[in-house]
Amino acid sequence: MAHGEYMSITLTEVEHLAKLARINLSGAEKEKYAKDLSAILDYVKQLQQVKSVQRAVDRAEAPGPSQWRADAVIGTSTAEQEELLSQVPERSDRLVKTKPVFK
Amino acid sequence: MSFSYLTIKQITDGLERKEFSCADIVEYYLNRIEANKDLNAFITLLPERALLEAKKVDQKIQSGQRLKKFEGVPISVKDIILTRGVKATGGSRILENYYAPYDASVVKFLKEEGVIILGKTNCDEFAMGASNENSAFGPVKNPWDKSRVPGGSSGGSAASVAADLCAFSVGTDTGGSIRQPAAFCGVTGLKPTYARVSRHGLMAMTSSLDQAGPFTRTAEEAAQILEVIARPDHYDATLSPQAAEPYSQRLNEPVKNLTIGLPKEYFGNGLDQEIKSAIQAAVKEFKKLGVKIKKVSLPHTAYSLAVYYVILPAEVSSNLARYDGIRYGSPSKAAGEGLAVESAGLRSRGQATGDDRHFCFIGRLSGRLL
Repeated sequence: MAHGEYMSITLTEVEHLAKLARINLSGAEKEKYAKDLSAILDYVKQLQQVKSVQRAVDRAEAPGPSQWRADAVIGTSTAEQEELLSQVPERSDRLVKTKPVFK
Repeated sequence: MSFSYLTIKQITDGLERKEFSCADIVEYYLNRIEANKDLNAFITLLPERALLEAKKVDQKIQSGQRLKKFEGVPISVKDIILTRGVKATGGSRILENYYAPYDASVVKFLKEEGVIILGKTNCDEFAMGASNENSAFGPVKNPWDKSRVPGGSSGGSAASVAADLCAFSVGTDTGGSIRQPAAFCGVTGLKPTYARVSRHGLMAMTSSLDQAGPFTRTAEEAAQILEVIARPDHYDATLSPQAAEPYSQRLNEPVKNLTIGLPKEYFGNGLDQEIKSAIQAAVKEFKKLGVKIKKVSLPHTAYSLAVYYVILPAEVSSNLARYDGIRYGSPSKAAGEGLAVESAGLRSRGQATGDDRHFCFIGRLSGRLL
């Protein structure tokens, strides 16, 4: 974010965020969120007071490289596939059925 | 003989000496669970399965075979942790009919040592909470005083060990979810250092902080369990390549040359007088044992919660997006409006503002503004 103050969260912003989060809010809820979210952001804002000093991380204190697995296809048996597909709420044969993304 | 509050060693020794059968000990805990139903410590119970496994252990003992490290030891597992073929709800309605298709690595390691899983313990929804009041399956009560909370999010695990409903339990800790309920219930809880224990098969909450660890009645047992669950695992790329130490063998080493640091920031406002006195008493005791006590400073302590508030919602918002009811879980419970996060009990510690949807919001905010 740019310099300066956090904006207090406006109702328009709450509506935009609700859309991104895919939740429906009533008018009263929007008011409440605008207030609460502003309060939380104000609390987090104190981090801006911290003077952070950039320094190179010493190799010795670094946790070490991540341990990668070989990039290989292991494959699954038909039984395993069926087990996973049995969890799917809506399926069409061996495919996962979902609502269309584009209209 | 009395089975109450047996340690792991007392159980395995008793089994090997044929002082009691494994079925006896499993039945003891199942009866305890039934008698303490009002604690609401469990979401799923596995009585038939546990008794069947107990009989197999008994046959093994009868035929004179040696037992593995935890063979026949009845335990409970937090419902955030997957156990193959068993329901794993994570405390959420979204997953109320979800059956885990594989074992979490911690569960796999414990099963390899022969544990018997009695059931899955109640917890705050997707591990988000610090009181166990945020479970879709109702709150857990503190066994010592049922008018109080057991702490959370691993409240069911802590209560199950405190009320002697199992020998030990496995929970998870992101920002206190093992340590705090262990303290509230008066048992031993250990959050291992990040990268020590595999997170494979844990429902991810805040991936850069999540760890699984034991609830026990003694430090010795915590050490024994950590040795088992801290095994190498190629399913978690963040695991330390350094092998775990044989903790239990080092338990009785003298502490004389150790130094304990007391960060001065931890003794500021908000510290309960009773807890302060308990710490001071412990410090005195350590001094008597020859431990050096050193005052230190961790000047960024004051900012830790604010930092947590940036990391947690961002990772939660991304991790919980998978509960969209498409590949598993309930689409109706998940969605309504299309995304599971809506119904997830996204509440957190400390500054909790009392509404579930904040964190999914804040996740977007931290991405956008910070």
